Amino acid sequence: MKPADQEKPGHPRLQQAAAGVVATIACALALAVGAMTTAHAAATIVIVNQNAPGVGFNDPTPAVPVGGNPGTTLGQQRLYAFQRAADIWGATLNSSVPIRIGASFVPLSCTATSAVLGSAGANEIWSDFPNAPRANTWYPSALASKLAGEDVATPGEPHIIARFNSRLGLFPDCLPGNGFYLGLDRNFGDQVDLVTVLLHEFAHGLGFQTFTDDETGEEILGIPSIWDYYLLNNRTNRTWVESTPAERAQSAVTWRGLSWNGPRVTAAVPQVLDPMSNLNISGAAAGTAGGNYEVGDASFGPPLSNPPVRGQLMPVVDQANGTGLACDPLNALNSLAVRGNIALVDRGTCDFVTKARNVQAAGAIGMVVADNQPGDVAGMSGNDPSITIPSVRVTQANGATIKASLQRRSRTQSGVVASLGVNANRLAGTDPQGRILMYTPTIYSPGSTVSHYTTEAKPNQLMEPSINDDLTHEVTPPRDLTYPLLQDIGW
Amino acid sequence: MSKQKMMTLSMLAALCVLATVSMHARAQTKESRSGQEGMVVVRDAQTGKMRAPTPQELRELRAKAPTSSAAVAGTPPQQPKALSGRHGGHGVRLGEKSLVYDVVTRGEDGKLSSQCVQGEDAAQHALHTEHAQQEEHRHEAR
Repeated sequence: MKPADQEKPGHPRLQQAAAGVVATIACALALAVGAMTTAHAAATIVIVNQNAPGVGFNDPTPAVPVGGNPGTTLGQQRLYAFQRAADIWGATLNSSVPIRIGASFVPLSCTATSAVLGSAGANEIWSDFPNAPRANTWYPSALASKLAGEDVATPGEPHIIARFNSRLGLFPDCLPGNGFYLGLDRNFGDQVDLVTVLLHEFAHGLGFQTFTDDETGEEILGIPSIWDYYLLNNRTNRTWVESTPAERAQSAVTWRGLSWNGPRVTAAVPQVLDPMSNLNISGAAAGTAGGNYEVGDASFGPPLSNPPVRGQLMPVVDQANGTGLACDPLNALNSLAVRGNIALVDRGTCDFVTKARNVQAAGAIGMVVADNQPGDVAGMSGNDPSITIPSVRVTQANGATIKASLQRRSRTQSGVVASLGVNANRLAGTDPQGRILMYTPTIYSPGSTVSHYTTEAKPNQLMEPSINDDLTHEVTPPRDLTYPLLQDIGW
Repeated sequence: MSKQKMMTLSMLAALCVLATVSMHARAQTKESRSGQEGMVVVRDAQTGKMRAPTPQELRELRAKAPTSSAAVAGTPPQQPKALSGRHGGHGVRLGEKSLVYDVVTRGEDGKLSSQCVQGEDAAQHALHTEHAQQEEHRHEAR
């Protein structure tokens, strides 16, 4: 039997039905699990199944239980994964008002190499409800209901909408081979861990988002979001509430320009975030290149630590234009240059792991990758347990500065010393005052939102704008800062 | 069964009934409210009859559509509809307007990268942007 959604991808009838119908079976399951959860949970989260019979959560395609998910049909397994994410949040939050998530699996946009995984968010926002902590301020309806002590949402409306792709990985035109992993144990391999994605998306629906337009800075009906009281422009030292629309819009595309100024998050930052990685350049020939550089970390090899890994910085040169890609085993000359030293290579052509493998095989004790495109500091993914040397990535501009100091060198020495360590005085992803930064890419990306933590946080956080492989299912310190932010806004 | 559990079950049962009624109503009004997906049909070139679009046709249709109301010259952005609270206060139903989308892309090396963006238009943009060109690059593999 094939998944039920194979009949007509994106068929409007399916979408309409999925959005409009509640399946009695799933409601009963929600009832059962909700009741089960209540005994030790601080908030009850009810998954309201909006799928029609036979599709989505009700897809009867047989499935083998996987990773602790006991479901025996595709639909049941989807529902169990949803319930796991709901249970995690339910055990974390406090509210006397059950939180309703209107959920469905429906065909969403796909290509053979990309897909919309899903979408979620608050369904309604409310201000000036009973017991509202701040007047004239938008709160997501789940939070407003918690604060009011009664359900302020329009009767029957869910507090949160969540819609996920029912065709992901199951059809040739929808990222074939990379579907949702429905197990509950994070053993997702090459698949997409659904529980992690749900934890992320539910957080947005609970209030991890501003309702003010990131691109224009305009507020909805001229009213600020509770989020905006804590979103601080660290250049002007004014929050978004205190800023003009133009200032808000500008700050949303200012690299490291926005910090979260909430007491709960800031207090938790030291126990969650690790020291910031640092590249120090020194030595007799370093000249104006000497100093500290911000770097992107690698997900392979050992993390940077103190004492630092220190050595002469030597460039790999294997291209006619003088750059070095290190995509193939190094020749004798390059091997001689990097042996016992730190290799400087250029980004491009092959993945970062391949470069690290090649310079390590040639005897390098560390690797610095210079970006080949303008942009902000970014990390490097990949996985190879055999890599034992540390690697970092610097921006194209910084790479050019460092390369300029390496022009005069011998075959084995440059007189420029690279030191790969950590800055004990600064935590990764924080501003100089120790507040976590929010995501503000310099280059505008459509839909990019300040409703995420910075990508520089270490370890990776659930609420960064991408789902990283090393995430756990934790939403609280000492691993994660998602819940402290929700506490700051009133949870 | 404890009194607390009984109360919880009663509350949840009522909630499910409420949800059932509401969701049926939503089925009838969704298209006019969200104005985003609606019912899409195409005229078949061979038969001349209307039919549901293929995925490729749907993508082409979306690509031709204006990215947002603000993108249409002279069209002011639409203000959301205000709601009145039963116990005071006022609200706005965002519906799908402000949903945050998670988009995943597979690179040439087979590795996945995801991107969380706000709004359907941004999701479509991310969906059709080459892996290497994506601005969110916390974990680029190459």
